[in-house]
Amino acid sequence: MKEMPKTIKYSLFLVVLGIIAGVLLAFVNSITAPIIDARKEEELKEVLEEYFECDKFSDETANYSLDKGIEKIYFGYIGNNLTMVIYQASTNGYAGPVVSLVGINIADDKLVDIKVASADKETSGIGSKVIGHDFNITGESINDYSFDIISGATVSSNAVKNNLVIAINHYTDNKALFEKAS
Amino acid sequence: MTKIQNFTKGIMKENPILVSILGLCPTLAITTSVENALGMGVAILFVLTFSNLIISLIRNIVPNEIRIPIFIVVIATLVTLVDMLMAAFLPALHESLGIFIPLIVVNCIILGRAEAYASKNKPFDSVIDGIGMAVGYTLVLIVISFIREFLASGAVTIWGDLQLNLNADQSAQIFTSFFTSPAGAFIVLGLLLGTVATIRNQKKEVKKQ
Repeated sequence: MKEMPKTIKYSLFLVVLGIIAGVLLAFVNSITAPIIDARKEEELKEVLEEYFECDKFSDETANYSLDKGIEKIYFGYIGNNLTMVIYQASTNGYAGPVVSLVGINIADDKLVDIKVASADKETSGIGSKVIGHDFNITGESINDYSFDIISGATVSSNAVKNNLVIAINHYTDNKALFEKAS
Repeated sequence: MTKIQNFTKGIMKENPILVSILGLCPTLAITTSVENALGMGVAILFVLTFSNLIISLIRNIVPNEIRIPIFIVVIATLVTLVDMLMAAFLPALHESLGIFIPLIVVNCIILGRAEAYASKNKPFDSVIDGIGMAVGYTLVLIVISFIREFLASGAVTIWGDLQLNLNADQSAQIFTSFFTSPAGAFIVLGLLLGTVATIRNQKKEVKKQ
């Protein structure tokens, strides 16, 4: 038999090797991927659970166009029902970013809560008061709410307020999509 | 060369970091704690042992002209395996090693051993060579990370919560986080390389006389 041309022989060799490698990796991935996904969900839940009472969370950031300042969009489920949209929004405060989580109830357009997740650069003892502060906004409507600025931490509080505005604007613009999803 | 010499050459005579000066990128980057060094060592051990074994097994059917892409496919497959397994079962370590896990693909030691040893020797010898080189690499990583971590904080993290801390109350002021910075890594590695080179040169002179 005439010998195969080198080009074909080499190509075949690499193709076969590639197939073997691909099959092997796909097999291992099918084992490890569910474990990795489950843990990611767990970690996300741990963070959000601190602030919002839901049974399950999902990261929906990739599915929506993001306005400036919005970092993440999460859905919060009670039972299997999509109940709230949670925004992670960031605005610059006195010295650095103030990151807040804003929860909005889809059924009645009311604010679930706003919490500051991180404000590391704010002045300790002054601007840092916003961390863990209860802004007492639960149950207020997104169209008519009163946001209390913390006295002595005006700039940092305004950053939190701005986060709230960003979240509400995005929510209002995308409400139809959220209702479709729930 | 006996089997034992074959094994120990990776640790002493041909140590990948101290003598061949190969694979320095992860050496500098991840040696901030002994735990990282051990994790990286295990990853390298796995990849190097199996890449040497597989490449040695297929050495007679691999066409010489396309051997490099073939070696790289084998190595990349093994590294991806390690990456997936580590992400699934050792998430904390996976996070702290970060980009340096996928970068094992281009670690000079792995391709270097494939090219210089495994592609010319029998599978069993290649496995011994791989283990020896990986152990030599890991030992140096541990030494560097031990020095860096200790000088930075007075503590040594061996694995997870298993930590020796001589400065738990932060009373001693001599420790500085400078040594966890890249500059600290270069200085520690440089001094270590210099020390080893000096010792080796002295030995050579003794032999000459």
